[in-house]
Amino acid sequence: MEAQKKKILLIDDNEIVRLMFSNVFWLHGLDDKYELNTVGTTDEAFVFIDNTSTRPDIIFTGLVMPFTKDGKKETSAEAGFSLLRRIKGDQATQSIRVVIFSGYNEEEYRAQAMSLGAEMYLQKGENMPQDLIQIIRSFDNS
Amino acid sequence: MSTPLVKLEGINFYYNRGKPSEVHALKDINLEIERGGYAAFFGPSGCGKTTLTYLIGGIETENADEGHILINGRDLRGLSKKELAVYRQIGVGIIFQQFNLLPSLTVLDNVALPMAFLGINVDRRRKEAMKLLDRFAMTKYAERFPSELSGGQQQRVSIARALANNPPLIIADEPLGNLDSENANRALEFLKELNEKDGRTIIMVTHESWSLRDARTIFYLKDGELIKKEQPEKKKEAQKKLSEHLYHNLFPEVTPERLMARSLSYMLMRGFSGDEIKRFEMFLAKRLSGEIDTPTFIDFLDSPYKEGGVGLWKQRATAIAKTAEDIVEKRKTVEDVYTDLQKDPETPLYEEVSKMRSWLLEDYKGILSDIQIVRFDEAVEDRFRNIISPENFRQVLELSRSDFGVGLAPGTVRTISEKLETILTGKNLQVFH
Repeated sequence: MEAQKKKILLIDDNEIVRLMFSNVFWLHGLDDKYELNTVGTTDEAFVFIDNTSTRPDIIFTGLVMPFTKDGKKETSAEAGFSLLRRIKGDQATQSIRVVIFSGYNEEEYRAQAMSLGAEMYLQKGENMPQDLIQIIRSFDNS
Repeated sequence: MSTPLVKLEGINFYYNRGKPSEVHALKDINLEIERGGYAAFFGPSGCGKTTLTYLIGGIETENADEGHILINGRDLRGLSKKELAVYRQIGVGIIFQQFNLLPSLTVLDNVALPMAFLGINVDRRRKEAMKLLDRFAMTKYAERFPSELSGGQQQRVSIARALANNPPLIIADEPLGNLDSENANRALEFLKELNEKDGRTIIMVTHESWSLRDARTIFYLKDGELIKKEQPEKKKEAQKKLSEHLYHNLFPEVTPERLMARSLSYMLMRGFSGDEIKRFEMFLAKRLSGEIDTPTFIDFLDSPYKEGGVGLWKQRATAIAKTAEDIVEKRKTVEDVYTDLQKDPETPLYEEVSKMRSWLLEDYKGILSDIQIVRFDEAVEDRFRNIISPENFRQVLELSRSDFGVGLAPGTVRTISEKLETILTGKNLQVFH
């Protein structure tokens, strides 16, 4: 049986982070096993999530990002939290694994993300490219 | 077939294109390097090898005039400046000839620096850098500055730095240029380890043929052209089989000890006359078969020629006796001894061969190019080891350069071959009449 490529979606407003992810996949040959897409906003993310043919198996997302709330633009951790709520609150999407990949390390952020159903909370400055590869591979076995 | 890690297609590169000073630095280069491979770009200075590695390393990439630089199937020439910048940080680690360490940073911070570009925080950076320094036995120098280190130490730091962001590809640009032979050997061992243990792909740029010993693919470059690709591992294997076959068939009546003595005698006795070598060979065969013991052997080597000895200096006699001892005790094969000689920092094989070359060519008026020298040395070494016949040796020397021979005139070849055969056999061969 031919295994389908796992779909991974990265949401981050920082272009360099998006490039780093796609470079890691490309250079370490993860492209053969995974299909990675990267977007800069949660709005773009839902285009992928809502469509069953592009729906990711795993999401890596920033927490504090610009987003639109009640027609107003703001930048806060609410961007990540509302994404989590929406994914975990919908039966069709709740099995998606969501990993927070954030530059912030506040304990309350971590606690809230985990209580909303995040798989892990990774701090950006703590994770080398090789750590990311390991984490992604670890999902294969669970 | 998996995608090659590096694939160049139709690369052309010019300096000052369209100006009177235009230089066509790379001409229609096509090559592939598989993931996990160990390749060398070999050629004289100015042949384009450094330009080529800079293209692969994402440094000169934007200036390539034509062609595709495919890294794991993706063309670097299609990348934005930002994408290239990230590629340079995590895709490739470069070890520079001049080490390029920042003088104002400690060893530890030099190694940690590439991680800073990825936004890794300082504690994690230093922890990772320390791990890398540990791998190269450099932790005790972590807080020193580069200027306080020897060349060999600086280079180990530079290798550690190249590994900082765990790149799959390592480029070593003339990594041995500033090192003494011992450190150069160590550097080669490190590169081999990165290739074999880590599975990293290595590209080494070099103009020194002896440093090619671990490369599995050698690309010969000249005047911006890729003139030849060679896979010596396959060649070595074939050579080994061939030499075993030759030994067996050429001298079926001779004992293995005698054969080994014959094959090693010239190697150990360079610069001596045919008679002296013959005599040495006889003693060596006796030692190898256990007929005489080490002190007796040394005594023979040490005694003056007219008293029936070989007339070596005591020190040299002892060193040779030691080699013979190794062969007897450890059951080393001829190939093992050659391998050791190749690694010997005091008088590595390449030095022997190059001494041999200058002796053979002392009456030759022309000048050999670097590529010719490589071919010449290879032929001498192969003849030495009896892998090729005198006939083959002359063919290689006469064959045109475009056919990867040396391209020497028949008269010159005759003189050189006679000279070489004289010392190899101990008698003048009348092969040309």
